[in-house]
This record gives sequence, structure tokens and C-alpha cells, in this order.
Amino acid sequence: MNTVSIIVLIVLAVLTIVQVMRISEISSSIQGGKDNQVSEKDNDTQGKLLLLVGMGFVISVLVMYWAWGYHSLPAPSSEHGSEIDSLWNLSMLIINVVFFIVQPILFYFGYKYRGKKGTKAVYYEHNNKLELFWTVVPALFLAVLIIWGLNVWSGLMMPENEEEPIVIELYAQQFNWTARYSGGDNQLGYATVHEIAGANIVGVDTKDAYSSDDIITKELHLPVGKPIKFEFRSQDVIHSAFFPHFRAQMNCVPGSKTYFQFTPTKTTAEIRQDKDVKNHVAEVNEIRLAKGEDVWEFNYVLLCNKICGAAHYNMQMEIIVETEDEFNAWIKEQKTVAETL
Amino acid sequence: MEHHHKENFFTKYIFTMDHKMIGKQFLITGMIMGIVGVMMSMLFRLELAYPEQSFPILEFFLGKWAPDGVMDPNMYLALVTIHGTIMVFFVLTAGLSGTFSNLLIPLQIGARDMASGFMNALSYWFFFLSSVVMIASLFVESGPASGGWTVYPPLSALPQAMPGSGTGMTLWLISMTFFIVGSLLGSLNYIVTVINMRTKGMSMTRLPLTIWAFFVTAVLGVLSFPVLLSAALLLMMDRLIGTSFYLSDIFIGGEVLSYSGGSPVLYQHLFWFLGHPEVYIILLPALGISSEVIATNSRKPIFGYRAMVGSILAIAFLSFIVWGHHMFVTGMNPFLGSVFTFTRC
Repeated sequence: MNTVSIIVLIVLAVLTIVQVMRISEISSSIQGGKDNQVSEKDNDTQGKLLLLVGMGFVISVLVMYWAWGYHSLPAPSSEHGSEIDSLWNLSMLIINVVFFIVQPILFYFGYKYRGKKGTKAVYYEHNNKLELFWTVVPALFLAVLIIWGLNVWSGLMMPENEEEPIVIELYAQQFNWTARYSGGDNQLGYATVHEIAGANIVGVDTKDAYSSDDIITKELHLPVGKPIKFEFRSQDVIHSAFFPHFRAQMNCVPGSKTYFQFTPTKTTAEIRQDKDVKNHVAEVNEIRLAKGEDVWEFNYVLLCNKICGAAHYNMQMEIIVETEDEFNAWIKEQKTVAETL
Repeated sequence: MEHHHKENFFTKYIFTMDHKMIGKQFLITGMIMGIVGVMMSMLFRLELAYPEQSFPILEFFLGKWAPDGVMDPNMYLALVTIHGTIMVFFVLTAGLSGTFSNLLIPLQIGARDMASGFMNALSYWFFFLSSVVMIASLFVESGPASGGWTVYPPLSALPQAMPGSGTGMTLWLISMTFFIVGSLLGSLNYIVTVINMRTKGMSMTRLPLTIWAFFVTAVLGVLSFPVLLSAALLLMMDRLIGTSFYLSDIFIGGEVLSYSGGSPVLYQHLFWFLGHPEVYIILLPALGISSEVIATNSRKPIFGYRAMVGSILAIAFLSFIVWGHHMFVTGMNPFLGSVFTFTRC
């Protein structure tokens, strides 16, 4: 059937429904029914349906937690990550307790006091003490969450460093990531988009003394247990460096530098042994093998989390967390800016 | 004093200045835009559920943007963007406030009509015009705006960054400009009507809660939409006349662009200064309506009328000091992040 006939059919179907509704309206008024007033039976039906749907909704939430809750991220692989997860867990606890108490009560009373001939609502106009109570108590709960959250936030964003963090730059562009290690001096050489030319993809100023020991790579290796301070730059549009397993995210803004610091606590080898990760990998590989694709091994990943264009969904970089020795060995093999540019 | 002339089809249905008919106009336009938005959501949800797979229905609706039934990634982003824009602004702001405020304010405060029937009609026609421009933007060759409903620059400022940031983005900005003008005209009208034209004996403390909600919503609108308008105007200038409000040090398409000194974060501050009150503009009318629907159908006054009015006013005031909670990871000063965490409470 072609487009025109489909459209005509839809229009006719809508008109048919409208006419049927008009007919039922007119015929009920002919039969003397007060079609504008809600009948006893309607109130009763609606009340029962409200209870059914409401309870069904609450039960469906439980079912979804049970059936799909295992899809949550594995335990965090960074020091601050456990604080973030604790904040999350407390928030979810408060939310769920309130939810599973209030919703059943709401729907039950909506059913119990459904419109019935002869029943009259209690004239209860206001109660200032009650208003005060249910403003102050939630405010106290929120105050606890907020103060705790504020502490975590300042610890995260303005950390007190006992040891100097390793400085690594992450350079974002449409549609890939480049890492630049600061090398032995732990200082990144000056870089700007104006210096981009040929092999110099991140625009390092080779005249800057600090840049000669910088190391530019397409893979991100991190030593476990050491604080790492990331500097983010972007070449073209706003990107966002999202490290889900480390509970870290920071936008990469063209024209500015942004920062985020964290300490990885689990090597890639360690997290591959994590029970949740193993189950997840097994589930994925079952699907992949059925489709005839090759097997996938878990890796930490850096994702882009701000719409940046067509291939935004695919803008990823592998992150490998390894022991300090493995990291040092790998870094030694990489070429510095002085050698390549 | 208007003369009572004989009404023809046009003065009664099209160029009406009667608040009830204008409410219906908002309703119909809002509903049509809503249907468009819903259909877009079905298309992108199909893609999200079954990525990169071929579906003939995608090619049926999207034509060249789904060759062989596989959705183009740019079109996915475009659908998400326009769906968000339509739902937030056209359906939930104009469609909700425009319909119910117009219909109910004069009726519930005992006024004959809005303070200015003419401005009321204008507010609808600007809304209609902005809807037409937004729909038109779907059909341009380089595609509609696709930078997300928040259209952050530089992505939305640079046509080289994605095709949807070309003509489609210019049309989005034009559409939103008309939309904001219409919204401001409407909100001013509601405020003036509620303040000036209440019937004898209706003090503010006897106003139905619905009207309190619509009134405060309108105040929120006049205070926050102009900021979005300025954000959009600055973005238009960056796009069309080479200013650098939001742009600085950009290398794209193989060359360094000449913009310098601007900050993308400025746009985000301006956008979210509206963006947060916007969600309360969406919420408050619904709160007001549900208070009254429940009270009327239970045949008793709403519990705690004064506390409700206080809450509505508090929500409105607080909504202006929390916008940064949409910006924690934008790279703004962490101290600001602390401030907005606190006001979030």
C-alpha cells in the first residue's frame, strides 16, 4: 500500500472513533443517563484500577531492581570512588525507604477513600505544626547529605597532596583522545593549537624546555596506587573525559585547561578477576560468540561524555592500570617529544 | 471600548483575541508539536535499542538520512536535539502555560478577558511562527540542529563541527527567538491580568492556588527567558559576524580559527540561568492545577493553602540561585561547585 492510502486510512480511522464517541454520548443522554456526572460504578472501578496500577508499579520497580540491578558498575577502582559510591548508596537508601513506604500508602488511601455516595471528606484545612515537621525533618536529612557531599567534593576537587601527583595531559579532539605524559620533570611543556602542524598533533611548543621529555601516546597506562593529576585540553569543541570505573569526569573545554585528580587502586589484571566483571564479560561473550564475533576482554575505558559530533559515541581510549614497575617499563619504551618532533 | 462587530470565520477562529479561543490555539499547536516530538522519540529509541541495524521504517521517515534503513549518526543526534527542544519548550512551556493560563486566569479571577487581547493573540502567533520555523529546520539539506537541546558552543557555533550546526542551527536560533518573544508577551499579559483585573473582593490571599502557580510561573518566565535570548543572540553573533563570545583557540578542519578570548562556559552559565527556572516553569502550573483538581473533587479546601503559597514563592526564589548544579563538571572553579551544592540543599 502506498503512502497516500495509509494516510487516508489513518484519517478515516480517527474520524470513525470520533463519530462512535459522539454516538455513545448522544445515545446515553437519550436514555436519560446523566452522562456528565460520574457514576458510583465509575468511581468504584477507577478506585480499584488505581490500587491495581499503583501496586503493580511499585512491584515492577522491585522486579526491575532484582532482574537488572546487576548491570550497575563494578566496585570503584579509585580512592575517592568509594566515597562517591557511599554517597550514592546512602541517597538511594533514603530514596527507596521513602518510596516504598509512601507509594503503597498513597495508592491504598486513594483506593480506600474513592468517591462513594454518602461519604464526606474531613474538613481539615491546615496544621502549621505538621507543615513545620515535614519541612524540617527532610531538610535535616538533606543537610546531612549535602554536608557530606560538600566534604567529598572539596576533597576531590581541591586535594591536599602529600606526594606530588603524576601529571598527564589528555587531549580531546573530534573524535579521538591523545595522552601526553609530562616525563621526568613532571611538568608539561607549553602547548597551544597554534603550534599544531604535521606530526605535532597536540600542538606542543618544542622551544619550551619542559616539553622535551614529554611523551605522547595513544594508550593510557596508569601506575596503581599513585595520585594522577589530569590536565584536559580540547582542540575543537567541548568533549568530556569520562572514566566510569574510576568515578571521574571532567569536561574538556577548547580555549581553557581543566583538571581532575584521582588515584587508581585496582590494576587491570586485578579487576578482571572481580566477580561482577567476570559475569558481565561472560554474558557479553556469549552474545558475541553466538554472532560469530571474537571474544572480548575487559579493559578500563575512557569515554567522551559531551555531544561532540557524529562519532561521539565511538570516541574512546583504552586505559591500562598496572604495577609501578610495569608502568615504568612501558614508559621507558615510549619516545619523547625531543626524539619525535 | 471595542465595538461588538459581527464575527466572521477569521476573527472568530484565526485572529481571535478571546482568551478561551487563544487557549485552544495553543492547545492544538502544542498537541501537534507533541505528536511530532513523540514520533522523533520513537525513531531514535529504535536506533538506541538496535544500534546500526537496518529498518525500512527509518528510511520511510528519514529518507537520505537513513540510507538502506540504517540511521545516519548525525540524524540520531538531530532527532534527540529537536525532540528535546520541542518537548521542553513547545509542548511543556507554551503548550501547558499557553493553554491553561489563557483559559483559566480570566475565568478564575473573575475578569472579562486578559489585560490585552491583542498582545495575547500576538503571543500565540509568535509561538505559531516559531513552530513553523522549527519544523522547517527539519527539512534543510544539511539537517536540523544536532548539538543536543542545550546546543552548547563551540559545537553549535561552528558549521564545520557537524552538519547540523549549519543552516539548521541558524533556523533553531531564529525559531527560539520568536518563541521567547511570544512567551514573554504571554507572561507579561498573565502578570498584569492577575495583578490588575481581579474581581472585587478577591484579594491575593483568596486567589485559587492554580492562579498563584500560573502567576509565579509567569514571573519566573519574564525574569529568566531574556537571559536565554541573550545567550542565543550572542551565539548568533559568533556564528554570523565573527565575534568571540564563546570561542577561543580552536583548530578544526585543518586550520586554526581566528576566534580569541571567548569562553564556552559563558554560554553554559547563560543557558542554565534560564534552564533551571525553566523546569520550574514547567512544574509549577501542574502543581497548581493538581492542588485544585484534588481539592474540588474531594469537596474540601486544599490542605495548608498558605503553606502552599509560601512553597510556590520559595521555589520560585530559590530556583534562581541553583543553576550551577547543571555545571559541576564544566571545569568551572570548584569553589563555585561548592556554592551550588549548598544552594541545591
